[in-house]
Amino acid sequence: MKFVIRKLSGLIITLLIVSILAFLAFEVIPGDPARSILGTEATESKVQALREEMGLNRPLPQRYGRWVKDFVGGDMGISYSYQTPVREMIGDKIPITLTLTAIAFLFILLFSTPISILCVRYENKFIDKLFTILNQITMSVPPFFIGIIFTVLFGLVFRLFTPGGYVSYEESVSGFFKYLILPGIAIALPKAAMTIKLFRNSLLAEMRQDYVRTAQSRGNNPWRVLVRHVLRNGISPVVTFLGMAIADMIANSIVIEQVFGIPGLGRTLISSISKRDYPVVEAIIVLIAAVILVVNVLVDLLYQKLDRRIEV
Amino acid sequence: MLKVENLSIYFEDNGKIQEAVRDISFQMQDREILGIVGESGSGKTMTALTIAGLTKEHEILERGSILLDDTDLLKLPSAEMRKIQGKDISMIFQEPMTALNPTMKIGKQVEEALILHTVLSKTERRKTVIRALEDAELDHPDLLYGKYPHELSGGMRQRVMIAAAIVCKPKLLIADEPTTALDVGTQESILKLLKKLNRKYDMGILFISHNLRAVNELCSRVLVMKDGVILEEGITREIFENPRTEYTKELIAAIPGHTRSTAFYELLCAEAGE
Repeated sequence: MKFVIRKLSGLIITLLIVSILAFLAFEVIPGDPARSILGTEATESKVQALREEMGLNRPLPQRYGRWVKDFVGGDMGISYSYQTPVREMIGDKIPITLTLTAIAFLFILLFSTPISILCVRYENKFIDKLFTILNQITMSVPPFFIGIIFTVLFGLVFRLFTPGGYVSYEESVSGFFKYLILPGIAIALPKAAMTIKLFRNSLLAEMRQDYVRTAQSRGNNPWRVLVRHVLRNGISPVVTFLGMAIADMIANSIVIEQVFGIPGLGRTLISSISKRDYPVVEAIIVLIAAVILVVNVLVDLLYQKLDRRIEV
Repeated sequence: MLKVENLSIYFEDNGKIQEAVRDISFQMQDREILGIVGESGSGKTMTALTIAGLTKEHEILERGSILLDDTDLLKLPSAEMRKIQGKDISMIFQEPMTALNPTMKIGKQVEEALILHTVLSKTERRKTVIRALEDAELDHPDLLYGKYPHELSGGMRQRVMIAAAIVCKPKLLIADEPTTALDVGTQESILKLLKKLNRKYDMGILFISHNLRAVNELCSRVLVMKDGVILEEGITREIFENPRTEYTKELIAAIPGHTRSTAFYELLCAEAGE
């Protein structure tokens, strides 16, 4: 219970700080939402009138206070450029981006766990060296570039999917997931390569521990030693890494959405920033921050579950 | 039961072949407790690990033979050796703090040899594990079953190691310095426990130590090793009372007499010319 209260209060404070910083950022960067609605031709007095109407001329703390009050009540405000509630605009897009991130996360685990075990089992043998080289290459290629290669290769050459032919989950759930596989892999690959490097080294360090010899002395075969004994002890650095990487993966999802034409948060976020549509951007930033913070709490919990010596 | 013949052990160190053990031979009868004493680097631990089959898949070469009953362990393929490890031959180690898996429950670690070597049902296995923990003189075995190693003291962990080693009732228990990392009081009780288990399960014990006092308490016969060879071999009492080599005399002289001031040890120290 104490843990929940501590984590929850930390979460709220962090979200407040993130939202204040986002508010301040919009003060500092050039551009006027009223001007961007009315266009460059509009007269200064018209712009001023609209600013007054939108409440932009009120002092910053007052505007922020009002925003927080509305946000907590579930009202994310009205989009400047579309005049529709922000909630409606991003409500159905957030699940798409988060699903894409989750699929990428699954692929990271799916790639890195067996490959790391294989490399440790055959340390310094051919397969280990091969993966070390492949890793080095994969690690240095950004996801959007892998996405472009995938689109050309699987979309245009092998015709395994239709580039830009996004299937919404209301249309077909299996089609939706199928379409997200390639973008998911594109996000996962560089992170999976880093995970393998980390995981392999962590497992190799564990292999030198005394309990490994004890496990061998009971008649465990090398695979069983790895999977039943070493894996759980060597996974902690990987959990930490993936916890930290989650923010990066959401950011990558937003970029990859552009490459594959997925109507997630990505396009909305980018166009809202260029139009100075602050309510939309502010809401997206706070929601993404909340997701990242929740994931980090889950990582802490998982950490303790894996190793009981750790106090959270 | 165990017959080691002309065993030599080599390992590679920086491209050079080093000899760890040179042409040693000895035998162990059923139920016997045999001690091997010597300083670090004498080859005693290497001998123990080789008998337990724990040098396989490392860059280590062996020559000679190790016969367990009539099977030559050195000629067995790894998969066959694994059927013996934990079932016929078990091993306990010096560091009880690190020899147990830190993220696996005590019960699961003791149970493992049963999963690997028996066809017992889950409930039967649990019963056997509880019995092994009781045999190792651990209190509240059912509570202990779900605990993790870090919740236990060093002495308790070594008892858990012993429970895990005897759970399949092996013919031979190899104990490599099992008391060295423990305090004196705990050492004493672990030695008593080993002796009790030796009688109860007719289990031979190969007891490796540099602690002559422990060897004297536990072992009927002893081998003295130095630089990879056996210097002398015989009944423990006889060797203690009448050491034939200078090295053995020095080892006996090094026993800290003050930690246990029985008349016997004072006598020993006096005889060793202290």
